[in-house]
Amino acid sequence: MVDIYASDAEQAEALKKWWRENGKSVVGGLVIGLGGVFGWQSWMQYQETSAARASFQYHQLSRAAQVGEAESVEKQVGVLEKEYAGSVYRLFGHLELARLKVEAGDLAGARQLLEAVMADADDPSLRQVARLRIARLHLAQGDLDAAEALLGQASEDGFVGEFQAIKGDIALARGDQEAAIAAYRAALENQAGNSATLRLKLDSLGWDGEGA
Amino acid sequence: MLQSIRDRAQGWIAWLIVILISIPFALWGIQEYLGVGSEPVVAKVNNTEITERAFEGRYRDYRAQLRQRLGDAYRPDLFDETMLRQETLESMVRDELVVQKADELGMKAGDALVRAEIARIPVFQVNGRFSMEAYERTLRSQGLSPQGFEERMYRGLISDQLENAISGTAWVTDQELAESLRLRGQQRSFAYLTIPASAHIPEDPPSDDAIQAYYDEHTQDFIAPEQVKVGYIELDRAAIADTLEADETTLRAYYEQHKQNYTTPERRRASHILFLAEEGADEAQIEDALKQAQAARERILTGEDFGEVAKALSQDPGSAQQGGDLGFFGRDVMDPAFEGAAFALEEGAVSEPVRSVFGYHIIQVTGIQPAGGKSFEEARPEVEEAHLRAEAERVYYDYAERLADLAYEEPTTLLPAADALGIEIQHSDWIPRQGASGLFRNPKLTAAAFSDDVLYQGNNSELVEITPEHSVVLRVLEHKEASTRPLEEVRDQIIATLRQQQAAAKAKERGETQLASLNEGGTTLAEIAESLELELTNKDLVERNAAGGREIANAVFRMAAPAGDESRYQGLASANGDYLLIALSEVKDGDISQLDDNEKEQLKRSLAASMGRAEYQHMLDNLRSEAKVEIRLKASQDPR
Repeated sequence: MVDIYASDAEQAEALKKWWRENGKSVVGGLVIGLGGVFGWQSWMQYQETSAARASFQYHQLSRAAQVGEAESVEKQVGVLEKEYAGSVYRLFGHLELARLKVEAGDLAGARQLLEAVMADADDPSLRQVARLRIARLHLAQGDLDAAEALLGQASEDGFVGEFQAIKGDIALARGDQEAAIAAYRAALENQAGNSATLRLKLDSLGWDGEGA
Repeated sequence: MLQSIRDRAQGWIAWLIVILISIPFALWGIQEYLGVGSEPVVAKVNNTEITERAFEGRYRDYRAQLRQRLGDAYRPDLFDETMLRQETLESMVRDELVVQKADELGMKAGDALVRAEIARIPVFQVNGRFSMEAYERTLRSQGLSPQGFEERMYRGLISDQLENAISGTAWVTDQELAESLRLRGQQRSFAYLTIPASAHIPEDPPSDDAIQAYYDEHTQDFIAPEQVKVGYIELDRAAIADTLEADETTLRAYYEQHKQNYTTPERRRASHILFLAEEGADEAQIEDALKQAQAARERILTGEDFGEVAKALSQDPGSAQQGGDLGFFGRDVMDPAFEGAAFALEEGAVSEPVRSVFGYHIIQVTGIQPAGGKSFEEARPEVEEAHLRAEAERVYYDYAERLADLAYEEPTTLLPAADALGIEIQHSDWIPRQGASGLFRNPKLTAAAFSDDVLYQGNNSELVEITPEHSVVLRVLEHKEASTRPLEEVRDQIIATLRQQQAAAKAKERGETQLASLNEGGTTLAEIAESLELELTNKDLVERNAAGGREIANAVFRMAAPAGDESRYQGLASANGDYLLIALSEVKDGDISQLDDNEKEQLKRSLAASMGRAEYQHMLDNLRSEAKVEIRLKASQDPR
């Protein structure tokens, strides 16, 4: 680039020439590089504060839900929906509101919220929770086929016991006691919740505990 | 010369040296960033390490909590240390997994939230408001830095949010509630009679072959646990006291020394009038005080009331208003001159002016409590007991120290200690690990007897303190590994078992015959009860918990409901050998409308909570099975 044996004047001249040719790209590169670094940082900052704000909102919402203030919860879910659409807290808000809706007897409304969770959640466990709850809502509404279809989609993981319990309920509703007993037993073996109720169901089917 | 250095410094050797020197400088401190070998690690959760230090801290906290929760029931030897440590580590792994998942989900807790939650913690509050000072003080006393604590709060917050989002949002539908209640509240009417095994015990004892066969088949049941016999020296203050005696002189000396325990000294009540003339006051003032005192005395002697005069003249602000009354006092309380005068006066008499450090007093004694209590002769039994007790205590501590030393210095025998202290070595019977009756029920003693040092190394135990005034040193004399007990030893037990089994089989056989005829419809349970002269128990619409025991409840509530008026029959071979015949006549489902709103709400909440806990647990299970978890915790810290 610069000849080592040239005189000072020649060297200066060469430098100037080089700058004329490459100056723009150097400056441009610097601007892009620095801009990228600062941009990335402020993006991260934005993400961080945005998540923190969504978290705070959810925190408040959850308190309101605990004391059953449905209206306030609904409003706050709306805020999460609008301003933090990509945040997991929006989905948590749905879970909270769905509970209030179930308790108020609005099963269809609850199902809609949970379906959004099942569709949008990245986390498999969250999807399973939503799927499980939707299936139970279908059962409550007497739609055995829809519930069964959901069981087919569920992956085999820690939630398998819960889905077995639902399978038992479906079988029983269809009058298949053998299948119901098998499913309830599988549910118990896989640590399904409300095990006391499951045992009562098995008792009422005359299962005498053999093979337990 | 400089030129030659300059020339050479530009050669390649010089460059090599510079490079070599710069390497350590460049890499200095890099381990801080890489975390290489900085601290021992007990587990790795995905890419996060759990250090041994963090683990030990948590384990200590856990133990402390356990101790607090169990109070006096806490006995460290009851817990399997290895298991506790594993549990602790598992819970740390679980916490870490939850935090990692929360991070991955993009969960955050902002400074505002962390601060608000910290402000809600009561220990950081003064008068109901957050106090920065209390916050810093509390953290310091716990050895925590604010950053560390806030980090912990942060982790706790996002973990709680995640848990709450799953388990806190669980619900049950009205249908599920009704179904659960239908089963829970179910009532059944039934009757049963018991064909007792005791009525069918065979007269002939079982054959030797049968006994041998049972013994061979149930070897597992006849294993005698590992046992030891120990020799021990027991020190007990009470026992030492029984061996001691004391002569008259000693007891008298003890009485004199502890007189205040047996006697109450004389106490007097007095009133006084004070004329101030403190030490160092000038002559004129003292003279003046004395004159005033004499004048006051005159007034009293001529008939004026002492109390009135005191009120009017006394310069003692504490007593003047009470008419000079000082209440009762013993010796060694008042000024010596005052005391001398007060204890010399007769009751009611008025003293000459008395000079104390305060000034001149006119004193009147208003009450005398004579010295009381017991003379030496009267108190003798008490004195003897107290003296022997104190003496025994002294001897006990002296012996305990020497016993501990001697047993340690000669770790393979107790004889020198026994000789030196003049206490016989006692011998125990066989003691299993879980303790025997009597002295060796104490878990400290069995723990010592089965400790590595005593059982395997053959040493004397340390001095084991059972109470502060009762201790034991022991050594193992004989050791028996767990072994199968010989047939002869358990023969009677087997005979009893076999007889009971035969009786149960007989009862069952009879019961099943009756059950068959019931099912054929030829008879009723009441008729059978009558013909066999057995008592019939009737239960009219009862829930499970009132059915008469778990065994009966399980059998009755698993029977299919009767069709129409026909009862359903079932036999039950009870675990105690009896055979029960059950007739089920009615099933009535639980009815949700029987509950009031409050009860309904409660049941709903508890069902939903149980469901929520299960769902969260399933999520944790998923996290665990997806994660890469490496446990490097050593199985035990026990050196053996």
